[in-house]
Amino acid sequence: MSDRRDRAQLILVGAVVIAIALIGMATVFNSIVLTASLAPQGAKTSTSDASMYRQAAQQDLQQLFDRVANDSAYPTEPALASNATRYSHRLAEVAANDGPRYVNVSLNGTTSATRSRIVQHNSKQIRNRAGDKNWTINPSTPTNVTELQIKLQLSQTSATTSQPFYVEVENSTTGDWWNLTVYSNPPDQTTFTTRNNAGPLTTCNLGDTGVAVINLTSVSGPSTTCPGIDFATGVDPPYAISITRGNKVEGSYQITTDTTLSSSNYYSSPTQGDPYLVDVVKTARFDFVYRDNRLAYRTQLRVEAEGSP
Amino acid sequence: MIGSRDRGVSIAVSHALTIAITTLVISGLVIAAGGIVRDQREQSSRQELRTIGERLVTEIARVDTLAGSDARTTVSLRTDHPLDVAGSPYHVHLSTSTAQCSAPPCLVLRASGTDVVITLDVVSDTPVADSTATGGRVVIVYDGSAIHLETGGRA
Repeated sequence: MSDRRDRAQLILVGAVVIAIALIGMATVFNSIVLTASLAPQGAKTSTSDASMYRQAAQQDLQQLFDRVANDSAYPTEPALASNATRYSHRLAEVAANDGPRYVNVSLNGTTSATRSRIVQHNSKQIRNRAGDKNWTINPSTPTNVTELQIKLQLSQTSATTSQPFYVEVENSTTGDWWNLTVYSNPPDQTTFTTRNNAGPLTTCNLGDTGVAVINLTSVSGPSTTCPGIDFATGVDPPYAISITRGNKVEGSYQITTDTTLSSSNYYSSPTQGDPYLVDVVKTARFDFVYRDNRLAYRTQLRVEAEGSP
Repeated sequence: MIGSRDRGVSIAVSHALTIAITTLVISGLVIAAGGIVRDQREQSSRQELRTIGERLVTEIARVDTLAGSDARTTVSLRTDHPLDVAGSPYHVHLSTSTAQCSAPPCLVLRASGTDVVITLDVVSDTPVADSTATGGRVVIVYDGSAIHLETGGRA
């Protein structure tokens, strides 16, 4: 009777010890199972979403840049900034519909590369803001012309052979120069000539009615196109661009330079008058911000005109 | 009446032997179980640290992708991991030391209660900075120059 009780006690003690050991091991294994089951989905989702929104914004902003630029290569900074703001609001709404996250895009005017565009919107004599007929487009800031469009009213040309209207570029370092001369050639022609310091280059006759369009490579009349103009042939940039006898012709123009010019010769906005100066964006940098409960991400998106160096 | 088979054996001796044998058996069980638990604890610590480390390496790679070595970019990714492994707190060290890494940079995870240390290679195009975080909530930060770890507090 006594032996049976002792045996039972031993079995009980042994069972307790084994139970404690099992509980200890179960605790340890439980920790392993818990770790294995904690899949890091949150971090993966956040980074994937951030990448997706960044790529979407990059593509959309490129299209927005091209669209705002319209027919020109470069959009104006105010137009690009306001369109980017509107786009950002739409993107934020889309992102918020996907979940609790914040996405924002804004034009960074400090890091974006800008150029100057000089515009005379209305057809009139080609004078500066002060009304000077002889003036320099980029005083004290040698530059390079990247866009050029001058529309001259041929019927309003009063320039003569002895007193022509001309646009001249000159590199003050090398002394090289190039000019485009325009004068009336009676009875019914308007003559365009180009020459540089090496000698005459091209001569072209258009009629005396309609509009002549001068760009970087040609002059086009109502029925004739004169190729081979090649603005600033033989003159390495940067150079100064001057206008002589702007009172002898009438027209509108748009010139984009590779540098930012001072506004002394121009009005600072289209509403003030012609000619005016506006900053255009060569390479836009947009601040992109993505934020959710796990990830805070800020970067810059670079967008530039096609073919821009 | 004591029989011939019980000669030389008293009740006291019988009890003493019973107690002694019982003690030996229980001690053996406890020691054996303790050893097993300790081994399992180290084993589980190693496995847990490796699991956590591999996740952190993946998350660092994600930050690396977002960072793109761009000085204008900042990233802060909060990651949540177990506060401890097998009941012990642990530390995560992002190291660039050749003494710790066979191919720097690497991630060194060390549990406080054990001697378990796990080292994992980190593949990153973005520079990394030596940094340490306590296990649990770990924040992976790219500040425009390098990726580093910060302790993010309790999850």
